[in-house]
Amino acid sequence: MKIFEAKEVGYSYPGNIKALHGVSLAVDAGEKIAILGANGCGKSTFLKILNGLIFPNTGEVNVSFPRSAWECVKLSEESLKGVFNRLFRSRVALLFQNPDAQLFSASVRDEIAFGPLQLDLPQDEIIQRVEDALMLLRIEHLQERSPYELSIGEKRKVAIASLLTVNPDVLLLDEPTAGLDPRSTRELIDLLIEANGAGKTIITATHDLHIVPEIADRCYVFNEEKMIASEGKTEAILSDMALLKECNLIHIHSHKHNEAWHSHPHGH
Amino acid sequence: MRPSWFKTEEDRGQRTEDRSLSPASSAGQSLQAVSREQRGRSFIDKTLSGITGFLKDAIFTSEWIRKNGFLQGIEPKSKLLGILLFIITISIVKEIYILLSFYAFSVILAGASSIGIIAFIRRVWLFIPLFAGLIAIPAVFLTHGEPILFFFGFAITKQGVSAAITFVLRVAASVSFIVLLILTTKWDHIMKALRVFRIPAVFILILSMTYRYIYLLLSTIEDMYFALLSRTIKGQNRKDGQKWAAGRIGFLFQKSRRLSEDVYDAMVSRGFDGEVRVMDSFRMKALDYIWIGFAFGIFIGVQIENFRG
Repeated sequence: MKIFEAKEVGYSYPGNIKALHGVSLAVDAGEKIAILGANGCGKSTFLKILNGLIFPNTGEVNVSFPRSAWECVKLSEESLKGVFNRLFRSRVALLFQNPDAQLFSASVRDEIAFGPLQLDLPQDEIIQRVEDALMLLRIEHLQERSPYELSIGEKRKVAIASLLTVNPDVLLLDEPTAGLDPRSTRELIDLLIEANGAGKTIITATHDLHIVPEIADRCYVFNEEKMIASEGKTEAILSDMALLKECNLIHIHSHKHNEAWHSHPHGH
Repeated sequence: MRPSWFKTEEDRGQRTEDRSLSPASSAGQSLQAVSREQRGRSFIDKTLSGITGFLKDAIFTSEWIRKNGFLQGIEPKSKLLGILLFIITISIVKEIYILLSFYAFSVILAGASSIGIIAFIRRVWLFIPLFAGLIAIPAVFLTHGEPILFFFGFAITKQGVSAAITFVLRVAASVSFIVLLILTTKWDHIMKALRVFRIPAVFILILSMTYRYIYLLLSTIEDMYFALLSRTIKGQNRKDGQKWAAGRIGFLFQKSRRLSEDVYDAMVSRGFDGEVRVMDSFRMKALDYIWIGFAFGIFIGVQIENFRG
């Protein structure tokens, strides 16, 4: 079942600044896909469109949820109201690129409880979910702290925990590993693999190519014209050096090996 | 392609900048002069470090909140209620000795809450002469009554002095209790405790968000200034400084506007539909009931005393 279907999506910011042009893609429920592209190619804008925060100027995005009466609903200001809005917000969650935008509550605990509170879950269940998320991300020691007291890596972990407590079916992740140290990056990848194993759909926008083979089975590559340059299986996309170089995703990197300089393509 | 002036350690001969900065050259002498100028801090430096330092110290201090003291152990809603009861009581007290007792009680509470007594007294009395003192001084001369002293032809009356002391003490005691609340309670807990007075949740959310983002903007301002300092070699004159500050104010406005849009999007994304739901995790203990009972008992006692008087 197609959970998202984008048809010829175009979007411009005020001042006619083009952010997306004719983007079409389809995501099946339970898939894990990556949206690859250099800075400013429209990845974040596209995720916001999939999350129903902004709406396309041209084209449309349709969403369907398994085990619900809602099939092929066009995302728009009109449709995202009332019951469908509550269902959509409980099923689709977005991790923002800037964790300072996402962490607006006064304490880490309040932040993680915000989502389930808005969905009117019972108090006991909210407390349980908050405890579980704190434990899963190993941030129990941060729970009484204010977001301004956290490092960038800690902020990102709190932001991820705040999404997990909503228990969404679809996770939209905008540069999830930015600012994370290698150990936290590994833990996040493991968490995403586990979430996907539990049936969740994972859509990750990134230019960090070394995490892609693990977090995506399929990739869409955005180019600097804000269009999809290519799509396909992760292995095929990552081995297409000409494509990656054209889309500014790799560069030729020189370094020393046993006193001899050598160059090879580099992707992170 | 590397520009010809962009030299590395390996191919650097005598760099143009290095030559102009040698102590023997005239440019080198002017650099030394600039260094002397730079020793005096620019107006931007003084203003920014003053504002950010004061706000971070005044609003974001958590030195005493984490300590294990009496007031820190009281649940925020009860603490707020008790302190407000004390302040209401202070406002109806007529006798100077009772006001002094309230002030002394606030100092004892500070001690019991592991707050440095000197720091506490200084914090309270820093602003009292400025705000309460200036208002109270005219009362010393203008209140009719029994003259005790003449000052440049004006009579200072006994009743005037008494009114001024009562006023200053009342302000000092009230401010002391508020300072106790602020120093021993996390800001977000004070905000949440306000719900006991049926203040709408959305109002409290906005207040807490304002508090949280003031810190972020302060840090951004600091970072921008450090970035300027790290690239300033020649020193800055006042005009350049003003131009920089004006440009940065515009940038900050843009940045905060974009951030506010993102924050709203992040809230909507997690189910915010205009109605705020917050978790009430405060649980009252025996000590909290005793604290409120004590504050209420004092309030009734003062009322009875006033009635008798």
